[in-house]
Amino acid sequence: MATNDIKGGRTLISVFDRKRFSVKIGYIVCYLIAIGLAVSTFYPLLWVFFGALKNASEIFVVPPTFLPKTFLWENFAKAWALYEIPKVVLNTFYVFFGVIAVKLLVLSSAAYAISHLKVPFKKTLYLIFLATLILPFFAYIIPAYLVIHNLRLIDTYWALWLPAGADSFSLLLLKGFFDDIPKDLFEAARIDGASEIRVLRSIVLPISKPILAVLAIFAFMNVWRDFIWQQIILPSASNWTISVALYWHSLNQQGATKPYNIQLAAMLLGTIPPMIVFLFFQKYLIGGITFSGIKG
Amino acid sequence: MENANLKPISYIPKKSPFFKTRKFLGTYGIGLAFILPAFLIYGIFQWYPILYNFVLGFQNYTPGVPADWVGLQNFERVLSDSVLPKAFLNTLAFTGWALLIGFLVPVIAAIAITELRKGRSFFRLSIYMPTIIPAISLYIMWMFLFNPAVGLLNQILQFFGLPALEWLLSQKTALVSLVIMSTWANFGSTALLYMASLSAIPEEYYEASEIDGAGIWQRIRYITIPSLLPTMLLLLLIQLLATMQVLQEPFVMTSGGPNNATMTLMYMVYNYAFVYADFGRAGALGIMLFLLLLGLSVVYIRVNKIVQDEGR
Repeated sequence: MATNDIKGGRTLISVFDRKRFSVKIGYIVCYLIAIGLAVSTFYPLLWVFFGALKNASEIFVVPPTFLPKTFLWENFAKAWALYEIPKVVLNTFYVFFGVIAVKLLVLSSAAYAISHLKVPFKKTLYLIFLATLILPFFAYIIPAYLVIHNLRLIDTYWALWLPAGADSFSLLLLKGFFDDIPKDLFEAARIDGASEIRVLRSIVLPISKPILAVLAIFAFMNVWRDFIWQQIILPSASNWTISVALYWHSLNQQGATKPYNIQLAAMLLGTIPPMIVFLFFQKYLIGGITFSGIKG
Repeated sequence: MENANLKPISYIPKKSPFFKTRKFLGTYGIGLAFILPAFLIYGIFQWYPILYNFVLGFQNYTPGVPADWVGLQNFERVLSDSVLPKAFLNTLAFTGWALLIGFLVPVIAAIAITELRKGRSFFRLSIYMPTIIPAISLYIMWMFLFNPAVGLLNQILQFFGLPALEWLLSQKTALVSLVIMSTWANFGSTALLYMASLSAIPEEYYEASEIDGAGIWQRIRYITIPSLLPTMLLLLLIQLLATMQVLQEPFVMTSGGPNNATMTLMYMVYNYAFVYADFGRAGALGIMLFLLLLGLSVVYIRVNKIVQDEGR
C-alpha cells in the first residue's frame, strides 16, 4: 500500500486490484465517466462563449457552427452598455454588503448568546431558530411579501437586507464555531471589566474570521443567484440587481429582448464575478458545502 | 461573576415584586439583549409569515383593504380550478424525474471521480463549474442550448443520428427539459457532498473486506453504499422538498407552457398572488402544499428510521 500516493490513502479499488484485467476496465470506465462529465459541463459553456462572439445573423445559421467566423469581441462591450452592467453590478454589491452587515450584526450576537451567555430555555430557543432550516423560502413567499408590503418596504433594499438576518444555516455554522472557542479566552477579559459587546467584537469575531469568510461567500453567491424574490421586491429599473436586469432584457416575454448574441455576452459577464469569487475561495466554499450539506 | 452581578440588587427586600424580575434580568438580561435582534428578525420575516399563511387561506384579502373571513371558500375555489390536477401531476412528474436523474448522477459521479488517481481536483472543479453560474445566466444559456434550430442539444442528437426534438416548445418534452437543465446545474454540489462522505470511509473497511476476498462489486454493495446511505437519505429529503416547490425554472423558461405542460403547484400560488392579486386563494393553495410537504417529511422520517434500524 505504500505506493498509494493519493491523498487520504486507498479507496474502493486497491493497488493490488488494479493489476487485474477486469478491474483495469472498471478503472478506465471511471475515467470515461469523469471525462464525459467534464465534457458535458465545459462543452456547453464553450458553445455559449463562441455563440456570444458571433454576429447576429451567424448565430441563426442552420446548421450552426461551433467557431464563429469573426470573433466579435465588441458584443461584450454592447452587452455591457445595453444591460447597464456597471449600475446593476453596483446595485448587487450594495445588496450584498447590506445583507452581510445584517447577518453579522444579528446572527453573530445571537450565536454568541446561545453559545456563551445565559439565556432562559436556551435549547428550546435554539431549536425554534433551527426549526425552519429545511423549510424552503418558497413555502412562505406570499405572506412574506405581504409583510414587506405592509411595512412599506417594496422597492427598497431593506426588503432584501432585513430578511437575510433570518438565516438558520449561518446561525448553525456560527454557533458551531463559537462553541469551540475556549471559555477562558474571554473569561479574562470579562474579569477586566470588558462588556459582552466588547468581548464579542474584539475577541470572538477576530478569531472567527474563517467562518465569517464562509458565510460571506455563501451570502455573495446567494445574492448573485437569487431571482424570484428580487424580481418581486424590486420593480423599478433603477434598483435592479444583475439577476433582475438579465431577466428583463433577455427572458421577459412581454418586453423587447436583446439579440441572442448580446444576451449570451451579458449572461457571461454576469457569471464572471461569482466565478472569480469561487476560484479564489474554492477551499472555503467546498469546505463549507461539505460541512453543512447542500444549499439551494 | 454571579455574585458581582447580584450585588446592586441585594438591598431590595426579598419580597418586593420586582425582585424576581430584577434577578431574572440580572442573570439573563445580557443574553436576552444579544438574542433580541435575531428574535425580531425571525419573528417578523419568518415565523409570522409562516403562521400568517394559515390565516390568509381563510380570508379574502387584497392589500390595502380590510380582510374578511370567508371560511373554506378559497379552498373550494382552488380545488375546482381546472389547472390544479395538471399542476399537481406536473409537480409530481418533475419531482420524480429530478430524483431519478438528479439522485443517481451525483452518486455515480462521486464514486467514479474518487477512484481516480490523477486529475481528481480538475474533475471536481469541472463538475462544480455549472453550480457557480447564477440562475438567470443559466436560463439564458439553456434557452440557447434548447433552441430546436440552432441549439447544441439537437446538434448532439443529430450527431448520433437521432431525430431532433422540440425541447421546451413541445408539451411532451418541456418538463423533462427543465429537469435536464437543473440536473446539469446542480449535480456538482451534491456530488461534492458524496465525495466528502466517501473520503470519510475508513480505509480499514476496504482492506479487511479485500483480505476476506470481497470483489469490487461486493465492496460497493456492502461498504460504499451503506456508508453513503445517511447522506443519500438526507439529500433525498432536501431534494424532494426543493423540487416539490419548483417555480423559478418554469416561470422564466416556459411561463408554465406550452399549454400548461410545465405549470406547477408553486407556480399556481405565484399566479394567484401576483397575477390575479387573489392572496386568499394563494394562501389556501400554500397551506395545502405546506401540509403535503409536511406529510412527506413525516413519512420520510418514519422510513428513514426503519431503514437505519435494519442497517444496524
